Amino acid sequence: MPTLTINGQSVQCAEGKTILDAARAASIDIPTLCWYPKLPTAGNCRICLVSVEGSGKLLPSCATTTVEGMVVTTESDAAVANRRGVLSMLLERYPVERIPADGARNEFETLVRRYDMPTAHRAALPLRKGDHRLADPMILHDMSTCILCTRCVRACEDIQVVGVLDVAGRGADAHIIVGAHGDPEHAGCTWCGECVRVCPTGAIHDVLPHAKFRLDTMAHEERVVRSICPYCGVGCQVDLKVRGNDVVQVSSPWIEEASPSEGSLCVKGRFGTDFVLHRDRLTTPLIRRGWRRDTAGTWTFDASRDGAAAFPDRGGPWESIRGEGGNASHRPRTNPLRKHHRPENPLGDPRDRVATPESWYEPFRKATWEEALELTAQQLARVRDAHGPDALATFQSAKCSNEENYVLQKLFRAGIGTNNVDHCTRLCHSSSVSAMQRALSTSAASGSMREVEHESDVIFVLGANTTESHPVFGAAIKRAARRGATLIVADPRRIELAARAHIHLQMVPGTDVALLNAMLHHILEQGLEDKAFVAARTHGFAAVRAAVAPYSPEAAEAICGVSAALIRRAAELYAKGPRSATLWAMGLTQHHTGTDIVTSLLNLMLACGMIGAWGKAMIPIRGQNNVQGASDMGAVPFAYTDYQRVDDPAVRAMYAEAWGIDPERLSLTVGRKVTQIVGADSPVRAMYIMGENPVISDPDVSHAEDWFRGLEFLAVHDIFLTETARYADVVLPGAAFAEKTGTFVNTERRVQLADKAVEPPGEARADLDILLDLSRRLGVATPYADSEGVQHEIARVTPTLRGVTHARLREHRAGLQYPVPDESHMGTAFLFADAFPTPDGRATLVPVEYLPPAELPDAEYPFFLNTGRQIYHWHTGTMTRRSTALDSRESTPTIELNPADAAAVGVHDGDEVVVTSRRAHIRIAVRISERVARHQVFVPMHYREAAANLLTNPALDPHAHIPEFKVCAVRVEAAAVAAAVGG
Amino acid sequence: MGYPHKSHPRETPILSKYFGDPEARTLEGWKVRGGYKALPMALATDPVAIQNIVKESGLRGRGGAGFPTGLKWSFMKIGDGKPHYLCCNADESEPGTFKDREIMRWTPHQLIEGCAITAHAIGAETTYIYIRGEFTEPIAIMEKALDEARAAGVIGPNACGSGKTINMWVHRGAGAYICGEETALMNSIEGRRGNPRIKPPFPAVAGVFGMPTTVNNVETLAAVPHILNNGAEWYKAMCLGSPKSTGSKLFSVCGNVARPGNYEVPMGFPFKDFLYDLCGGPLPGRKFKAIIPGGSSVPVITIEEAEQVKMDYEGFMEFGTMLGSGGVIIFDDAQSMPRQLARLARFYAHESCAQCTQCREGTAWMTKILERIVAGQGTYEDLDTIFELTENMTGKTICVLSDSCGAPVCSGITRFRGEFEALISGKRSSTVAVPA
Repeated sequence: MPTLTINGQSVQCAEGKTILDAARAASIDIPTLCWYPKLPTAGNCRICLVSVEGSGKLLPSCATTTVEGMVVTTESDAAVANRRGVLSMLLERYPVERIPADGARNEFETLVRRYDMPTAHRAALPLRKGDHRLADPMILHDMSTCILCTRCVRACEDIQVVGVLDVAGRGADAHIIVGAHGDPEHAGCTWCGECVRVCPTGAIHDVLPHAKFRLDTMAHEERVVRSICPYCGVGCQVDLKVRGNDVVQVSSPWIEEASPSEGSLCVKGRFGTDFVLHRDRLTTPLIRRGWRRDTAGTWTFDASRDGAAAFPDRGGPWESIRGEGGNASHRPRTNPLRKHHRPENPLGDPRDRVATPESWYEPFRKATWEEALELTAQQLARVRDAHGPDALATFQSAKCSNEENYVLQKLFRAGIGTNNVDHCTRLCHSSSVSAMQRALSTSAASGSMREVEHESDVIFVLGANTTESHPVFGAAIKRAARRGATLIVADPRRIELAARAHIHLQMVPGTDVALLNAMLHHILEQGLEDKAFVAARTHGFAAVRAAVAPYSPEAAEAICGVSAALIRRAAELYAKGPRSATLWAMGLTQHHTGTDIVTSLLNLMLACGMIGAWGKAMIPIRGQNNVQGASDMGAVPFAYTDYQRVDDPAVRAMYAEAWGIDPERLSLTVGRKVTQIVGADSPVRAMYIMGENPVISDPDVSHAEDWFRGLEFLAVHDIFLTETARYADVVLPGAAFAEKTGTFVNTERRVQLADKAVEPPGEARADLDILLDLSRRLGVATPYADSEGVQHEIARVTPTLRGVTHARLREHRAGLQYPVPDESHMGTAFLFADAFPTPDGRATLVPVEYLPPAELPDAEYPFFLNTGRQIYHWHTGTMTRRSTALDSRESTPTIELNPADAAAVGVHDGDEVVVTSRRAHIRIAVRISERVARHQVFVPMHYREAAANLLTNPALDPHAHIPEFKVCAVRVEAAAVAAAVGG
Repeated sequence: MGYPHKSHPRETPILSKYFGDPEARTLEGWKVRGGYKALPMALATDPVAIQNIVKESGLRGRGGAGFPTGLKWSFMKIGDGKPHYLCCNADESEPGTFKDREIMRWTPHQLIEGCAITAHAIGAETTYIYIRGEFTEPIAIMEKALDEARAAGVIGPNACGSGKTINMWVHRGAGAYICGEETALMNSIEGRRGNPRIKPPFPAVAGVFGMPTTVNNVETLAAVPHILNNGAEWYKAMCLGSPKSTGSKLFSVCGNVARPGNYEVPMGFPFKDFLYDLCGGPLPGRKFKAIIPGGSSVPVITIEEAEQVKMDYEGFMEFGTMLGSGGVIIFDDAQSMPRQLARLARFYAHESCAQCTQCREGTAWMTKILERIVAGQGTYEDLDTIFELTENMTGKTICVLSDSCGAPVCSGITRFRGEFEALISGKRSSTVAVPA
């Protein structure tokens, strides 16, 4: 611990720290330009030079390590003279006329003012140039203000590990370039905006939400509100800059502030939130034409009234998803941005391109809140009374806060008396939950993202395209690989992580159990398992040992197409760790054997003892910003909050008491799951859907669409008139993420608080407000003033969240990782150090056998179809397709086709093909890509006009009832050929 | 021998003895001329003993800085378990310097032997010879010689049958002066942009690929076999001036002089004799005016000063300049110093790697000012600005390129201020004999 003297003040700092570190810790301000926290030190701006006794020269404080007894003067005459020298040289090429007469617009200009530099342009040298990003919808360059500090270059290379930006040229001609040809597209840019964040002059700046806001207004936000990004489960915090009632810019928290993303954002979080301002936002409640309230106050539907006869069967003047998918008039276009670089927006106003068609509103009339809620309450009660509570169901939302989800499940459990509550976790990680519940009695990640980044020696990523689906975590994994961690990726596609991995296990889709059993087989054969861990902390090992015995790597090679040698190497690396992290996502779960697949992975993990220590993280990577929280809040058919079983009378009694109702009003029957609710034999007659869009997200959409049309009553609570909402009887306009306060749980069990920034548009109401109003109408007690009050009740009934309050979350902005057993507890970064939450504290290994996917390619349908996400879009596209920036990056549905397959089919990049499964067909543009293996194709799930889920197979996992989104068999034909044969 | 002219009788040709002799280029030819005697001997000797011999000889870095070579080698911790690297700096880009080029061109095996001995002395198995990309002929010759040496087992996995591994590779530069700076050179070898690195860490701690590395100049390495063959005392005896400067030194002479070329003389040789006797004095009818004695980065001195200099590290220092790389650039009375210095400044502005503000902006700004003065549009304040800029540019940057731009310019203005003022005032300079 060297002690040094800075400006006469004695300062102590840790070994190896620089003068700048020591000064910052002591609140001594040394000016910097090229230095930025956590970026590698460049030491090139030379403005932080300080005087050090005994050194003949000034020394760079950012790059000089402290030594005992050093005497530093930060503002010595020589240091100040040098700083003025540096500033004068930079000003020589800076557009000084733009510096406000008595102010500063950025970090650099602030230093110009601090050192009282004259700002008369000396005009000796021309302004600096650099690559422009013409017509870029998100990031713009004005390189005349670039001071070549290279922060952007390092941020791109070292934080995001993308490496798009660099310095080209030398001497005075040096300038920042975007790839070798100035084309961010070709350079691999992902528009994360990390460069925007670090730029000290605004030479690289952002445009958000769209041209509506000029740059000068962006610089003058009225207030900044901390919220949570509404997209994936990483849970990045965002700072919403608000002017009036508009979010005018989104930025990320300061890099040194503790937050799950360490201040990074991806393209969706930084540039994809302008949907909040979209003119399609629902501003008044809507009621389907034909509903009428009689004088007695009873609502009835009469198809002969209001012109409702024009829209039979809850339909409307639109094409079904199936019709649209196959319609030639919706000919896919290639992305115009890829071909043109024009300064004006070549796409026109995107709000006109991907908007709710006017015709969708035709079957509805505007209504008052009183009408809409009265109708909803009456109909829910009527169906309950007529057909019993289990004729009702609700889809809750992984996009809504804990409080909202809690109130909605309480509404259905206490007010209706059914456990038919579920949400989209059914379609993503339900098989992980069933496998983890069975093996470990847990439903969430054991570890944290930071330990993967900094501690794990081996990172095993299965079926998770993190760099696109969870880009901020993806970047952390890339940083881990760069630090020296061994990266093993199991994925049928050669995704970015696979390309960077030490080992890529590119297996045939759906053969994961064979692969994982073979890895365990080899580990046991080599005796690499953690014998002490197995003996002390698990059950059932012998059965698993027997079960994996037939799965030699050679046998697995025949099934999954991965060489036995590679399987052996991967197995050894994983088992030897010493600290291996296990991460997975939809690639494992969305199979009809999803629970088995995850179980085989858990067997491998438990046999190697890779859980329960810092660096041995088990993380099912969550896909939505509150999918973990919604599940924790009881938005699942089998449990109340904290996974307390609904069929346990003791639990029921506890909740009945907490909610002040008769226990008999709470059902002891486990409810139906999403995929059981939407089904031919479903008894469900009425539904309340909050913020979900099952008409795009369910498998075999055309059947789902028909099913929703057959309901007696459907209420949809959303921010847009979604594909599902158009079949509703009542549409309730809710609030977007920026318009409400609530808590969210990210993929590492971190509860964070999002604050309200703006008011919902028009008459739209906060979701909690709507739910509370409806609860009161259905006779459920709602003794809460606001979401904070709800959180108090959640804390009371949820042992793991007992210490979580809004006040604490405001104090600890980084959030608290549950379990938080009391109000003094600081959260739990990793779990299971000593025991698992099972009755005897031991985990259970469950033997599993490989079963092939439910539908395999054959002569008629020769391709494997894989579905999933793209970086620029998110789920059913409700939000991202209404984001100017995001939709201009990917405006067209595309199918990824291997070059060899494309040649065989006879199509080129951008050509249209018809993709046919046993259920339906879609027309879609080809993107030739070596990411997909031969005989495999990939279709993103985001596009209404070519909905991937028209094709997918509704085969269900027997435990979790998750559909097999990841594998089905399709045929791909050039559109012209398909037309000729009558396709 | 000698190239392009015969060795002068007053020269001491050691490194340059076989310049101009094509037969010396081959392995056999070199062995006949006494080559590869030192290497097998060295490989059988303890590395530290070799370090000590070289320390004792007084050999100092010939690239410009003059750091004691044996001492530099001793910073490499033998047996620390890390791979060590030797980089031979053959990126000879200093204006006025062309001695390394001739060593590689005529005596490639001299360099290979020096590299191999040095690699052993510092515990390195891999040597990179980083050759300036424009040196197409020397590169081809070096590659050929390396092939020969490998084929003969002189170097390779079992160098000279010693059981030691001495791998040696040519790495071509791509036309950046800054890559002659040792840390930029290492970045370039690693495939990065040739930007100098912040020191510390010094190369002996973290060099190429983050491993302990020694970077030596071609001429330095070429001298090593001779020291081992003849002994430190022999080398140390070649000293006519300061005892701290020993051995022979190649000087490249160019500019307004009767006989330009490379000359090898013992350290401390009288500069006056060198200029007028060895190099044949000025061109007919002209007079020497100014000299940059150590490559373009060192201060310029007047001929009156030069005539008193002893040619060694200390001798040049005495007159405020440096031995540098030994590139002697001679200006006669027909040359305009402002014009010459503006040209030099332009070179540095063009070659700045553009990392440090002072260098990137300062060199460009200085060039702009000097060119303005040369064009007759300068002001007296411009001269002050140059000194102010030089102050800002000296000792404040990651490497010394920025200092190197200011040094010749400021020394030039100090010594030939009249010429600058004449241009500014619009009058003819009395010190320029013929308009340039």
